[in-house]
Amino acid sequence: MSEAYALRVKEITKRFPGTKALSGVSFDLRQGEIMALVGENGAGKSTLCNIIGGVLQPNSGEIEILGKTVTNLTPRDAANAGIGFVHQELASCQNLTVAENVFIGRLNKFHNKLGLVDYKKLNKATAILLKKFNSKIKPDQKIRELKIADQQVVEIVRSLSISCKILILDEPTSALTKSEIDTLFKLIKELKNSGISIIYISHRMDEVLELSDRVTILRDGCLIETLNTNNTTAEEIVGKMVGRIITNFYPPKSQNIENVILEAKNLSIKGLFENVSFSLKKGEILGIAGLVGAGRTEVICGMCGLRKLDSGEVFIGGEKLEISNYSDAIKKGISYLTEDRKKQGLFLRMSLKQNISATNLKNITRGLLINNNKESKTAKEYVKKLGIKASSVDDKVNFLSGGNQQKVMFAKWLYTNPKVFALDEPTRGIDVGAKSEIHNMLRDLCNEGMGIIVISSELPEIIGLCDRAIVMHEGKVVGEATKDDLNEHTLITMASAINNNYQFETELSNYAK
Amino acid sequence: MQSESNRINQKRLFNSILNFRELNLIIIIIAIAAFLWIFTDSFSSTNNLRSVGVSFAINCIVVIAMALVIISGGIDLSVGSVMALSSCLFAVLYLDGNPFILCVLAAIGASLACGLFNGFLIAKQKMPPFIVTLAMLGIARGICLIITTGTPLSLVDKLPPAFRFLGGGSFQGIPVLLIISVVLVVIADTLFRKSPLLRQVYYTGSNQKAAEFSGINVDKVKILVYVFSALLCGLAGLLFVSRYSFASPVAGQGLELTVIAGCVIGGISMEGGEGTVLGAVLGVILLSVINNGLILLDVSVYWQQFISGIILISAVWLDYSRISRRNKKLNA
Repeated sequence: MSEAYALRVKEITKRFPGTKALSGVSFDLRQGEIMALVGENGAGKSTLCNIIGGVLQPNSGEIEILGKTVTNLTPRDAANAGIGFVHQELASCQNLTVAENVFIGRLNKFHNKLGLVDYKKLNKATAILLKKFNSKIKPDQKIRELKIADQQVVEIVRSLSISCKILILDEPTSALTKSEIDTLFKLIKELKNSGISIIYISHRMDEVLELSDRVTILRDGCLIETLNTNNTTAEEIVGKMVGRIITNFYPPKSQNIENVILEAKNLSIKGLFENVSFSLKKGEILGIAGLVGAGRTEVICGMCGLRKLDSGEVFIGGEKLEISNYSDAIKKGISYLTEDRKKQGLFLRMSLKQNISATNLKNITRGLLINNNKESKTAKEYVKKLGIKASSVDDKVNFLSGGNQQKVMFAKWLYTNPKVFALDEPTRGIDVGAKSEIHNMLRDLCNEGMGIIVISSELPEIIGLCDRAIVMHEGKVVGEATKDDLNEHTLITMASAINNNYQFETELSNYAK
Repeated sequence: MQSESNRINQKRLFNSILNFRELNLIIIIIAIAAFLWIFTDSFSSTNNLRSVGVSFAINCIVVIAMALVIISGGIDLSVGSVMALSSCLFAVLYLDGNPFILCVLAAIGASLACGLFNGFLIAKQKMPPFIVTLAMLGIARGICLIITTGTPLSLVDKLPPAFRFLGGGSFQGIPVLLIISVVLVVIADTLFRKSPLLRQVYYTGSNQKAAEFSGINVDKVKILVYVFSALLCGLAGLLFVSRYSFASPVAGQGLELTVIAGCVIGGISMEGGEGTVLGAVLGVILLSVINNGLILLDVSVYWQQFISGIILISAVWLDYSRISRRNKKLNA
């Protein structure tokens, strides 16, 4: 063996009923390298990592960890063999302290003579580990008091405390701000230098290019290619991921912007945002840019009655909106598609048709009772119109894929016939192909005469998709850009000219990358 | 091809009426009934069937209430106490010589007040349903004991005959009480499946946040759920008086546990958003039939709770093993 391999995966195949999630996947992870694992949703990234982490068993194939072939891996075996797994959805116990989480399952090492946990010893051991990361986290803090980024650090520390040699990071940055991402990247690079091998799963090409030594691309359960990061480009990677070259991600801009249909004047909620004003025209897509926590979501919630406004007025079609709750807003033609489809959007254990009709029960009710035939018929129309892949409208939604779930969300809101459709991060966590499909769908709706508001943390999406954009920062609108002005340079300079805040400028310029 | 699609349609229709759990329960209930019919002399006697039917009838109204609350994602531990409160308040007022209608209205009014209290604290103050209704269990029971000074009140030969007829009368040999409860179950089951308001209860129980973000007034739904639950319990309390001609401050103690068990056996998910009234009622029927069987087979009454516990755990265990078998199959 000329090179030292941390992990070798040979000919792994995994079948789920009806599909082959992985077919004959083989790759090597060298010691001390960062390998990015990329692919569209459903390409098999998570399945592969779950097999390496012992969560799932392959139907055939072999795994070799640090030169030893292992079979029938359980999560505990995997941990003992030196594999650390930081899941996308953090699995920390929120009400326990940092130290308790780091040594979870191994607290017996800190027992005193009475068999009780010696917290002094435990906290000290944790402090030593945390110190390596120059982190300000204290061992006796509760997990729920920490920022998401710090929670991620705790998970990494936990993996390292069991002396892991191979660390799997599943989309660790999806909930982080730019400065938190920088800290995390510094940490990852330090780990690499200390000889730990890392598998890094991400949708974000800039991260992949910045961090990784090599990129492994999966598509439809097959390993397409492993590339040296230095010799490739984002276009090449994306092209191989989707199996075609995507030349133009975004649909053409609007040709036909008409009169104003929505006007928000001086909206304020104390402590969240103040004097936010904007307007939206028929046939237009308005972007709201800004960082997470800038108050974008809160403004939209305030506009449609989900939060109580302290002051401000909303006009729709020239008429002042008098609403006491969200269902009034829906009746007036405003719909809001939430950011987190699993927690706030879908009824996962209910059927597809019941999910779609949730916003408009009145429409399927005849007399006192719901008309089942009408409900099914309506659902089938949307399944066809939006191309939702499901065997029947009676399928429970949790059996659908992420992209299809997002389409169910769309169907649910289109069913209310909105005049104004606000969407919060409509393409987060969705693969490139489905993203493009959703962008086109939004543009079509717009061309049919809807007004659309898109909140997005991805500047390229704002620039590519929207006709006009406003930028928010710390609860205030700091600028607006249209047409030729709608580019990264303008958005950034505009923000910095009005708000002479160096940190924000750099953050925003990083975020534009 | 034609017959294939016909067959699928028939299967769909069948599935839409009875799901796996309900079908299983019916089979088990019939099997137990058949066993008792063959091996005991008295199971099939009119008297026994009547007494099983009547004892089940009151529980059955309360189980509708419990199903409603659990499907909405909550729990109502105060059902037994509210039922007792309704019957005791009625009896106390009636024995004081107040007009019958006034007593009925007072009993129902008190139940509604309990429900409103529960619903308000749970929906508006965001207090946990378990705690609020546990407190109500104590408060309502306490009021019963206070107003009756702890003794049962006899109303024998004092009630209006028409009211007596509801609880004690028969129509074509079938107890009127049983007819009332069957009618209520059929109405409730239909409404649970098809009424838009009840559908909102399912949405709320399935995912409260998503319901809120779908324009459903979750607070209103929750308050209504607890008010209706208490209303049904109040009604059950009046039927109790009508049936037994007395009111007891300790009536319905532990009833909440029986009906929760019935709901769970009948396939209602404690997480909310899933289940049917039919299932919950079948769960209660199963428990009633088994209890009756134990009596007829001369098994000591002390065993009854033990056996109910075993049945509850078996039903849930079967469910979970079915799910894990299915998951294993999916992963194979």
